Amino acid sequence: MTINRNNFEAYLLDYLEGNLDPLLTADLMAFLAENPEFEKSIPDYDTRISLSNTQSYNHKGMLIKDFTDLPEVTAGNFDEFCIAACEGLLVESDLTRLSDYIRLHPDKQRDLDLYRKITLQPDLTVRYPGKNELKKKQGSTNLRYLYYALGVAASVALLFMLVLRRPAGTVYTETAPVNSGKMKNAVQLPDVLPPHNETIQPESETSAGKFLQMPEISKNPDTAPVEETREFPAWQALAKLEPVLDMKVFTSVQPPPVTDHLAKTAVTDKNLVQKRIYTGNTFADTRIGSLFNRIDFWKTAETAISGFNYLTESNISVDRITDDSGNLTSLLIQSDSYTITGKIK
Amino acid sequence: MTVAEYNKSVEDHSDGVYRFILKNIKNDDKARDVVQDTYEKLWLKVEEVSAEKVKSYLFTAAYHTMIDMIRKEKRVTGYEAEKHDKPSHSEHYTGLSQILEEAVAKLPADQRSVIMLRDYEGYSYEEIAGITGLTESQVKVYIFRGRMFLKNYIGSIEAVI
Repeated sequence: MTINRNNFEAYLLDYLEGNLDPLLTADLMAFLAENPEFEKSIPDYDTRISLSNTQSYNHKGMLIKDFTDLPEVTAGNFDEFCIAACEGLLVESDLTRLSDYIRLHPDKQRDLDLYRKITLQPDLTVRYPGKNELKKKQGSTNLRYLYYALGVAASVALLFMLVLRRPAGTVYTETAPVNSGKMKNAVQLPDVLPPHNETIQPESETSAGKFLQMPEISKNPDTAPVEETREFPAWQALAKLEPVLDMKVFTSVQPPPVTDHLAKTAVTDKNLVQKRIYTGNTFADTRIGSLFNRIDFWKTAETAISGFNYLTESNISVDRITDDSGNLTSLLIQSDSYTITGKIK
Repeated sequence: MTVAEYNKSVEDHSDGVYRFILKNIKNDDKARDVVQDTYEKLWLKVEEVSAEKVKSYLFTAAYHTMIDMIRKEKRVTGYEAEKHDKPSHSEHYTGLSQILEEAVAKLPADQRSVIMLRDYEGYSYEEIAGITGLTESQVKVYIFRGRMFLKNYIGSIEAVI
């Protein structure tokens, strides 16, 4: 709209003088309708114009619902009357006045006829071709909710498992693999452990009858560790292990360093050897690890996020940012109100 | 709204929405996309939208989807550069409907939309305002301007013929 509070008076004057273009007239009326405070100030603007009594001011054209407020049809409002007539806004008396005007101005009949021709008619032969694809089967709503809910639940569970169970980097195994593929060293605890203050007799190898075969530590981690084994009571072996004095709590992303662990579990009897043998095996070599490796965690996360967005009407997105060589460098989590960037080490 | 009511809305209103969008953007594929997006939006809100208001919801969603699409593709119909009182037109016509179609295509998007909603679907000014997000006064002004342009356009063609 070109009419504003700074220039509307000029347009108003043109309108009152009958010189305002019909399009601008509509603009002016829209402006006054939306800014009634200017309508009230108009009588103060020019005392020569008693707007409340003039036909021009009452002539609000398309902006008024009742054309009976307009005292008569004029050249200035003829188009508005015609359009209102075609729009079905005129009552019988208004239509009569319009007919009377046309009778007095026969050349205007053509204009009215043209207005009557421009009512658009829809082409009913044009039909949407994919209706069947839009239709849904009964129960689709519940299935959709169920699908997303299950997706979210499963994804969250998997992510929790991943965070809680999956260590990063090289990890150790409690049981060492051997070359033969057979596990020779089986820990069998005695039925009854001795009292806590009982003196440990490491030499009493014949007691208890439950024995632990301990392999020698292999200096070469790639070779088989088991060459010689000694038998001794399992409870004695357990008692020989000194407590870990400054045990650290390691998270899944920070596994215990192998050297630390070995150092703190020193054996008093040098003849006794630790069963634990550290290898280069990773979590991926375990059964759970191989299961995780078959899961596309990115797709899982996307499913979880889309399900979360659907269920909560949120708009959260996660993007991967890679460097020039295509390596993942960071994750970008965005919503309508925040953005979080997490760098990947 | 139940699934049955949703499917009925597809049967009852998809043609109207499709015609409305197709007439506006003149591209069959994009019109289909808009209809599909519109019903997808309805499906997501299927439990919130009542069957009585589904038609209005569909046209509102379709209108705004269309506007977004036009803005994205910067394909706003270039009527703004043309003069209302000097409509341009070609010289060969087979009938009034063709002339009118050409004239409608030259209308600004806002005027074209409100006139089509008025004529095609018979919406009131208030309903059109609700669908388009315009004020009722703006709707009236746009309809007034659009009608004036169409009448002048057809009048000028008739004079040529």
